[in-house]
Amino acid sequence: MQAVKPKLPSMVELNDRTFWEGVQNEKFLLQRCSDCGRLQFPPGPVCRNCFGSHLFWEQACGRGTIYSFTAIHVPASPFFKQQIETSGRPIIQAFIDLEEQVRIVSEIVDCDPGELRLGARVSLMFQKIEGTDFKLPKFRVSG
Amino acid sequence: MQREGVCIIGYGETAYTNREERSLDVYLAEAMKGALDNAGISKEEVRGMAEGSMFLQEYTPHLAERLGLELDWVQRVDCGGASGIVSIRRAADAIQAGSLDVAVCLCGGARHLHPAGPTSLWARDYVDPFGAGGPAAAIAITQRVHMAKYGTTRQQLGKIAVSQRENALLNDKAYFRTPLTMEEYLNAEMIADPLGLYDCCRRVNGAAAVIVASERRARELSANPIYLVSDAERTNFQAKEQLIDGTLSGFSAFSDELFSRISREQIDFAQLYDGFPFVVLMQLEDLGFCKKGMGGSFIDSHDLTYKGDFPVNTGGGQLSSGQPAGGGSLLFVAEAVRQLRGEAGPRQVKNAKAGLVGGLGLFSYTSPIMCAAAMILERR
Repeated sequence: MQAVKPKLPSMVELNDRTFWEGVQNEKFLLQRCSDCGRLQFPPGPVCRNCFGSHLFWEQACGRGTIYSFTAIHVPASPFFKQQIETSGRPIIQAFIDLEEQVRIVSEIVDCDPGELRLGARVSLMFQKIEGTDFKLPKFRVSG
Repeated sequence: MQREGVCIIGYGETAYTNREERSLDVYLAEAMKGALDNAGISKEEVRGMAEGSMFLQEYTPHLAERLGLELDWVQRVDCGGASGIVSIRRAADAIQAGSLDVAVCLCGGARHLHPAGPTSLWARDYVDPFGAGGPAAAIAITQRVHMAKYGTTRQQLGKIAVSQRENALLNDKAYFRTPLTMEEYLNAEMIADPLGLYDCCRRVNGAAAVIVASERRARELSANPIYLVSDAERTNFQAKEQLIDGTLSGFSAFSDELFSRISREQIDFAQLYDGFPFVVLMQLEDLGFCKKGMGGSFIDSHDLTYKGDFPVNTGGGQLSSGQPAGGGSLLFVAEAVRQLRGEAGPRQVKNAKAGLVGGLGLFSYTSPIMCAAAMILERR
C-alpha cells in the first residue's frame, strides 16, 4: 500500500506559527487578553471578547474533561482512511474542556470508544504524525 | 423581521442526480429556466441576481454573463447551507429599498467538476489534523451530547429520515426513490458514531432557483404570488462564550420574532435544512415547536409525512433528494412555494396556507451551526 501524505497545518500567520512551534516543544499555548483577562483558542488577531489587541501566550496545564466525542469510521481524507484501515480502529475526535475553561478539538488515543464516557478526565500528550517529525497535541484518558 | 411588499413568483429545480458530469452553470441555467417558466416571465424581467452556490468557481457577474443577464443589482452570498434563504433576504432588502423589482436567486452544486471552494482556515488547521471527519463528525459530537443530556434516541432521529423517504417516493426529482426502513437506518454502516450512513446526505449534482419580486410587480406578473411574511438570520451564536451548551443554535435567537405575525400553530408544513436528521430536531426545538430537549418526543408524537399532522420536508429533503454539493437551501424554498401554490401533485399538503423554511450552514470551531436563517411564506 502506497503511503498517503498527511496535510500539515499551515503556519503562514505568526499566531499560528507560535502555537504550532509551541506544540513541537510539547507545550499547548492559549492566548490571554491583557485587557479583559479572557483566554481563547484557536489563536486569532484580537480578543474575541473585548476586541483588545494585547494578547499574550500562556501554557495550558494539559488537563481537561471530555465534553463529547465521535468515533470516525469513514473520514473525509485519504490519509485517515488509510490509518483506519491499517489500525482497524476508528479515530476518536473529541471536544475537550480544558481546566482553563477553554473548549478545544483534539483526538483521544489508546482508547476503545465503547469504554469512553462524557465527562471523562483526560490529559495532554504529544504524538508525531506517522511518517513525519511533526507533533500534534492529543489526549489520553487519565488513570 | 416582518417583511412588507415582497413576493416569490416562481421556482425551478433540476433533477438531483449523479448520472452526468456537467458544470455548475448548466444546472443553474436549467433551474433558472424552470423558475422563469413557472413564473411565466422572460429573463429580461430579471434585473438582479443573488447567487449562493458554495463552490462557484467564478465571480457572480461572470456567471450572469454566461446566463445572458444584464443586471442593476448583483449579490454573492456565502453562508453555506443557509445561502438560499439569505439570498432571498438580500433580494428582499434590495426590493424594499427600491433598487429593483425582480431578482433571481440561484444555488446549486456540481460535485464532479467543482468539488470544493473556500474553506474554514480553523477547520483546516485546528480540526482536520484530528481525524478529518468532515461535517458528519461535527454533528455527531453534538448529537451525542443531546442523546446523553435529553435521552434522544437514534430511533427518533431515524423517523425523520424514514418519513422523508416516504415523501421522496412521490418526488420524481429526488435521488433516492426506494423506501427506507427503520431497520435499514439503524443497521447501516457507521460513518461517525452515533451517525450512520442514512444520517448523511448523498452529494449530487443539481440546482434550484427562485424568482423574487416586489408586491407591485408580482401582482402584474403573477396570478398567484406567495408572500414573504417574516425572515431572520443569525451568524455566530454564542461566539464569544467558551463552554457553551452546544445543543443550542442561533435559531433560538430570533424564533419569537419570526413567529410574531404568523404563529407556530398556523404553520401548515416545515421545510427544514437536513444535512443530518439531528439538525432538523435542533431547528424544531430552537424555533420553539417544543421545549429544548423535547425534540425526540415531538417527533414521536407527530406524523412527519406530507399527509401527516406536522409535514416536514415534503419533497424528501436533502436526505432523500440528495444534496447539491455546497448547494445552499433553495430546494427547501422551491418545495415551500410549490406546496403553497397547490402544485405539489400527489404529495400536496391539503389546504397549505403558510409554511416555514429553515436553513443552516457552515461550522464554527466547536459548534455545528454557524449561520442560521429562516423565513415564513404565505398564500393570500
